[in-house]
Formats: sequence, structure tokens, C-alpha cells
Amino acid sequence: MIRIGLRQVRSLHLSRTVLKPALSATAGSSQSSWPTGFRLPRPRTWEESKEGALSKATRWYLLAEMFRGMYVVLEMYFRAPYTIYYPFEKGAISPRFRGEHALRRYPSGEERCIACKLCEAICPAQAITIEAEERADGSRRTYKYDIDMTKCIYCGYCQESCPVDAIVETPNVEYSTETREELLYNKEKLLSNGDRWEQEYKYAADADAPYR
Amino acid sequence: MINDTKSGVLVGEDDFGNKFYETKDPDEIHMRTRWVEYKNFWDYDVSHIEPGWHYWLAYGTDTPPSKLKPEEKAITYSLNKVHHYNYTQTKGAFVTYNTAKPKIAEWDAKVTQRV
Repeated sequence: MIRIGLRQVRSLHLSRTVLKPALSATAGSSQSSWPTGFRLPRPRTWEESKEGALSKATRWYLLAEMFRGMYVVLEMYFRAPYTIYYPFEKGAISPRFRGEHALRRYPSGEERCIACKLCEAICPAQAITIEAEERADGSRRTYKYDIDMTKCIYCGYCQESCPVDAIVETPNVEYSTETREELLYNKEKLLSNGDRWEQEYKYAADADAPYR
Repeated sequence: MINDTKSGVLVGEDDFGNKFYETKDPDEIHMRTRWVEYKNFWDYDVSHIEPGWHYWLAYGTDTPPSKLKPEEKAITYSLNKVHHYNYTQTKGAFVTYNTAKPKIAEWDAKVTQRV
């Protein structure tokens, strides 16, 4: 990676943006309002236009509008493309994004899920299957927690219904599989997802906490 | 990075060894200011990125996991510290299995010894 006098370059650019704040020629705009003249007025009809018949005929026979259109195409050809190079760069993820599921644990390592089966009840696609029994130490836990990810519609109701924040949807979408069978998640897979994606879930939850 | 020349500052490196860069250049295209250089140039996938850095790369947070204060870090209890990624199309692909004991016991036919 090339690193050339970055601070110098940056200060130069900053002064330029102060002078010309409206729109940069290459960059996508992060402005919330449209610049002036962004919305074009309705074009005049044949009757409304004050143009003479001769000039109209000239425009018609010389294909002026065709060339105008081709010029716009040429202009776009020389403009920098707006392309995100995906495996290296990514688009933005919302903190409320609902991706792959995960079962979380308490910091002590104890799994959170208490087998209340609210998620199983609320699931509109009936993708969740839970079976539970009393564990040796007397606590109620699941011994089967399966999510059929091919059924799941990613509505996020399971996450909302969970009283102990055990089942969550992480911002992960990069879990595509070759075969359908790999998407039939069982409890072990979901728990290992939870172990791995805990930091990312915390980022998203912290960002969203003021609005909940 | 493949197919492009960019300059930026190295923000950090994740547990896999992928390097993450960022640029503050105002002329840079929106959503193209953070990128990753994968450890393996020839074999890369987005799932090779460590979770957390993945969120930083997607502009979810401005604080990468390496710059987090200790109290902001998620306390994880993980049995194996090694992150693993998407193993589909390989031998390590996830194979689902039943975590429950079967409810119906099969008839185990045993031939008793004839007297």
C-alpha cells in the first residue's frame, strides 16, 4: 500500500472542499438535501414553446437531442465509477440488521436459553424446534434447539420475544452454503455462532440501545 | 487490493492476519473509505474477517475491536479461541445432526440360546 505525504494531501483537499462544498465531481454525495437545480422543471410542450418553426425543424433533422444524449453517455464514461469492491469493501450495515442467528451465553459460560419456547411459538415460518428437559443440576435447558434457516424469513420476532436475549440475529450475512443441509442449524452450531459473534452483536446492541 | 490503487492508513490487524485500512480523503467515493487486505492473496472470502472487524468494515462503528477499551469489549466465553470461517464446499462444511435422543427405541432382536 502506497503512503504518500498523507497529511499534506488531506489539508489540500480540505481547503478545496471549503471553497467548493456543493458536489464533488467523483464522490457520492452524503448531503441530506438536494442541491439547487437538481429537480428539472417540466419540459415545455410543442404549443407552449416560444421557439420558431425553423429552429424546431433544425433540431429535428440534425438529431440534436440524440447527440445530446450521446454526450451524456460520453460524460459518464469519463466519470469515476461508483463501485464498491465487495470482498474488500462493504456497504453499510444497520445496527438493527437481522442476519444469521446465534445463541448467546452468559459471561460465565452458561447458556442463556431457558427453553421458554416463546421464539418457537412466535415464529411465523415455524422454523424453530425446541425440546427441553430438566438438567442434572435442576435448571431447565434445551437439549434440542434447531433452526431451519431455509424456512426462516428473518423477521426477528424470535429475538424480540426472547426474555433473556439468548437467541439473537447477528449482522452476519456471509454464511452462504453449497448444500441445503448445511443450513439446518442445530444447537451446537447456534452456540458456536454466539461465541464467535458476541463482539459484533455487542457493537450493534450498543449502537441501538438509545432507541429501544 | 486487487484491481485498484488506494492509499490509506493501517488501522489494525485482526486475529486472522487480515489488514484493515482507512482513508479520510474527502474525494474518495462514499462507502469506499474502509477496506481490507486479506492475508491470503489468492484465497479470500468475506467470512475470513474476524467478527467485530466485519462490523467496522461495514461502517457500523468507528472504533475497531483493537481500539476498544477493556470495559467496552464483549466478555466472551468461548471453548476454542480460534475463529473459524465459512467452510462450505470443503470437508469442514457443517453437517447437521440431531442433539436429541431418539424417542422411539428400536426393537433390538436378540436370539436366545436354544437349550
